[in-house]
Amino acid sequence: MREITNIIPLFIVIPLSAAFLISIVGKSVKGVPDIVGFVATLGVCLWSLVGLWAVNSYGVLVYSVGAWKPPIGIALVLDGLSAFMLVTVNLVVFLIFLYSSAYMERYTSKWKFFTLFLLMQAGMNGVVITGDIFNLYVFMEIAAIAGFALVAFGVERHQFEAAFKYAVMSALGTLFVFLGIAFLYSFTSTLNMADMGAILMQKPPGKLVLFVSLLFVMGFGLKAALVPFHAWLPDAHPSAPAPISAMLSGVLIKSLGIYVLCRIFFNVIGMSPAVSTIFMFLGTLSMVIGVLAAVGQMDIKRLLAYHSVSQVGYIFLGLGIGTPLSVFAALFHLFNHSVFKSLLFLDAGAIEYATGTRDLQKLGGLMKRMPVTGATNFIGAMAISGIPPFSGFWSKLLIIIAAVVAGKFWYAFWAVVASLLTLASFMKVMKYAFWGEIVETTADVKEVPKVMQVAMVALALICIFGGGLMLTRLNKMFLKPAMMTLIEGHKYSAEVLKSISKL
Amino acid sequence: MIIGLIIAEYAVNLFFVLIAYRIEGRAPIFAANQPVENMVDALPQAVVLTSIVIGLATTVLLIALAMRIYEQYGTLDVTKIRDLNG
Repeated sequence: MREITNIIPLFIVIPLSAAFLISIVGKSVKGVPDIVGFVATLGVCLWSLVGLWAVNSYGVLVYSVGAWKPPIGIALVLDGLSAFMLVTVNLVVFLIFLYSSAYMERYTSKWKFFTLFLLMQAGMNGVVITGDIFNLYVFMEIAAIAGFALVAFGVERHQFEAAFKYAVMSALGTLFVFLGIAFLYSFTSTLNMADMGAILMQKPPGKLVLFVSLLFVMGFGLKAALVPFHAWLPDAHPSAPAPISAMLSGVLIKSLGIYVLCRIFFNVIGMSPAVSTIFMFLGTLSMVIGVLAAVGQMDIKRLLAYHSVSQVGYIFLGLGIGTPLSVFAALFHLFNHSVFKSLLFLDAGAIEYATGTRDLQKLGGLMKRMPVTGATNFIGAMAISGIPPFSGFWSKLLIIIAAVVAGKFWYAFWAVVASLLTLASFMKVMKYAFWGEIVETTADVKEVPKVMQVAMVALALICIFGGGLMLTRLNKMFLKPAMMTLIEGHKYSAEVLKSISKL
Repeated sequence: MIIGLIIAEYAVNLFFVLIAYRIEGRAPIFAANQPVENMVDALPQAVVLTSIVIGLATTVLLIALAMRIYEQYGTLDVTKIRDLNG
């Protein structure tokens, strides 16, 4: 029991030390950044599977940093939800890394890119795994600062503008979060999330908790790009290099925004009817506005960025309904969205890599020139629009069924409408870019390098077989524990405190 | 914009420190044999210290970005920096 908790800090230590190693030797020794980064990302990806196994066989695991006993010291907690997020994040990060090792050849100073990339991964893993609310804030900033720098990585004027916008809005969100933490600390005199949950349960619900909830919705909603706070996303995501767009859209907004909101509202503060109404309403708003904005776009990556807003809306709708089925569906959709949105961004990157443009009107007939990109893009598009048998269909169907079962017919209706519009906008991408006649810009393009194809095909395969996660056996290992963590709410505190007392 | 952010950040930091203040409190440093009495809460001070460091990192990055924006656009007027319309 004692030894097994030692696996927990490695999720942060491996990418962090790899980042430092690359930044020290990467400039002088060629080839080191690729090898070190590859080993680190693959290692963490496999390690997260070990973590999943450990949670399934041992239950909630707690590691106390520096042997200071929580709640005084900082605790790292690995439970069902954390393990689920770790697998999602690190799997996608590994595949994106493969892709970017070829894609980034055209940029100068690749090693700087990998250093920031791994820092971002360390930050995200830290957010997911920590059990201390201030520690969470620190890791969130690590990931976010690496994110600003990566958005500006191409050093062109609109990239600086996007990065600046992202940085200012994100810093503002962070301030809200920090103020919320200050209030919670003054109310409960602890920073440990499990301890905080236990204390809040005993106190009567008051105005303060509601105020803190609103601060957190604003702060983390900004990171998750919920609709009133989404303005940075459609600028920042298209401006970044393609692998980073995939990282931001695929996993960063989820681990920094959605995961933290889940953890705080379900496990620490407790869901109140007001908060779940906010979740459902903003979720539906994001869903509809995101997709409406996406339909009119002619820039592929901008179109995809608006779809991120829209799909995040689905996840929040599922979380807001709050029944076991809907939370299950929301988490399932979170996993699926990570996979297919990364895939679509990587495909958009491949198009840009081969043709040098992202403007749909200048493209055409790419299916004949780039069959792998075309096929994987088609699979991703089908998955995001919810066409059976691809993965997106099952999770969207479950969210809509859950909404109907809970009697929220209007929300279900809007979810269906948004899904149809998604299909329409992706048909547009396919029609302009891949089908039709070959035009001037696409006359002599070649398929992208093999390594990039491998990453895209792997993600496409996960999209096709993602529906298999509904099978009971896989489901029991992967999604069920995560769902139970959220549904059982305050049991989280009890479980973690029990593990702490065993240390 | 940057200065505004910095001011807001310091306001929150100060707020956090003041939460920890106890009336007639003293610094939380005691000799080994001294009785622990009426001290201010030490944890927020550590927390705020970390937060200041993070704020520094964010600010430095923001200023670096602003300088590059000035190089490229020739202005710092946000109403004129409008290549993108998110």
